[in-house]
Amino acid sequence: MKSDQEPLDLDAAIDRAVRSMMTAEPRPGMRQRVLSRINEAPRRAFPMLRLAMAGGGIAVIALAVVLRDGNRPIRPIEEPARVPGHPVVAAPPPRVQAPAARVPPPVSAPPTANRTQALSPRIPRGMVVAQSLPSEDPVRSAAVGPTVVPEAPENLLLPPLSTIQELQPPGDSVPAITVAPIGIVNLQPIAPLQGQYPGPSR
Amino acid sequence: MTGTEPAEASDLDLVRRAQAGDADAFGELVERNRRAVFRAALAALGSPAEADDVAQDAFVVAYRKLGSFRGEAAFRTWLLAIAWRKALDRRKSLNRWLRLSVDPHPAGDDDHTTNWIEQMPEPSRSQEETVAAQQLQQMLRKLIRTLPRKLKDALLLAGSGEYTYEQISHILGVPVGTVKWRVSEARKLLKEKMSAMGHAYEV
Repeated sequence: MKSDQEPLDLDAAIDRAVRSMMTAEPRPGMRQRVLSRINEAPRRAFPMLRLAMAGGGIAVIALAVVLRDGNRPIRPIEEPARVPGHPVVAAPPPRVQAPAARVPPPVSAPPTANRTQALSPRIPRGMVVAQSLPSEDPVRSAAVGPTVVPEAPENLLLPPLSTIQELQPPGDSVPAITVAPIGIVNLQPIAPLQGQYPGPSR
Repeated sequence: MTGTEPAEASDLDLVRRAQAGDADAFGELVERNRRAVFRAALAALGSPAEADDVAQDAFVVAYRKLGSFRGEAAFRTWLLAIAWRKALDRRKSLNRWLRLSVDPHPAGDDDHTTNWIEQMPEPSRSQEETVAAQQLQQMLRKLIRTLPRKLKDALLLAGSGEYTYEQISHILGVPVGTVKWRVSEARKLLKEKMSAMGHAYEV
């Protein structure tokens, strides 16, 4: 093997290989075949593709119709029956409160006469409030400072969403809802602890 | 000078007549360009049977688009670009992929149709040398098929002897310099692969 002739031989071998791959001839009669195809009636190209596209379009339309029917809005609330002499007031849309809210509910002006008969306040857990209700513990009842409301029993927590009832228009049968104030009711000044606070018995 | 025989019509004349509706003129264009169109498709597909089908498709498409040919480039160049696009479409088609996955070497492969060239004994060579040359050719053909497509296409088109670099540039849609670089790069890769295989070359 001569090194100066090596590239030339390999190049020649490559050329021969390429020519051998490209020396094939077309089948005889190409002219007649082409002219006969040209003279044929023009047939539609890719008939299966057109059918597939048509089927896909129909499927898309059907899906759009199904989705539209599935996303129709909820039937509106029926209007309350007319009562003679009373104007019909459209029911407000239902309001759903977040169950995990720790913000105390808004407080309306409490009636001054029936404070003791007020419903138990719905106080969130851990809320520090002034003690406004009488307690059995004489020591606590004498205390002036604020106390932490113990963990509220279950019945004071917000009900689950499923039990929330739709608001009704005001009427005679609906009792007035009163909420005990959560602010400090005892307006007496808070005395310093030392010297006056009896503290726990030891 | 009296011309008893009419001068051969140029491709442009035949195109004008075909555009006017002369089917025979287009038939003449087919006859003149069928080999060039076929081999362009063969370079892309590697199968004479598929190349023949694609060549027919290319001529039919060219006839239907004949009205858009303005004569800015040569008719053959315009026709070869159509044939190349049809060949690439066939190369990318799913059906072809499925066929090749079942039968990677269909009938009509170049190894079967052109092997007789290497089998012809040369007087200056011994039988052993002839066999070695045949094996080298088979190995090179296999290596050429494994080249990256862009390099392989440029090498086959340039090596066929049918096309100029300008025509290949128009077919592939790249500058002439890029065509030459791809051909050179293809050769370089082939030599590296042959060296990696430890193939010894005999003069």
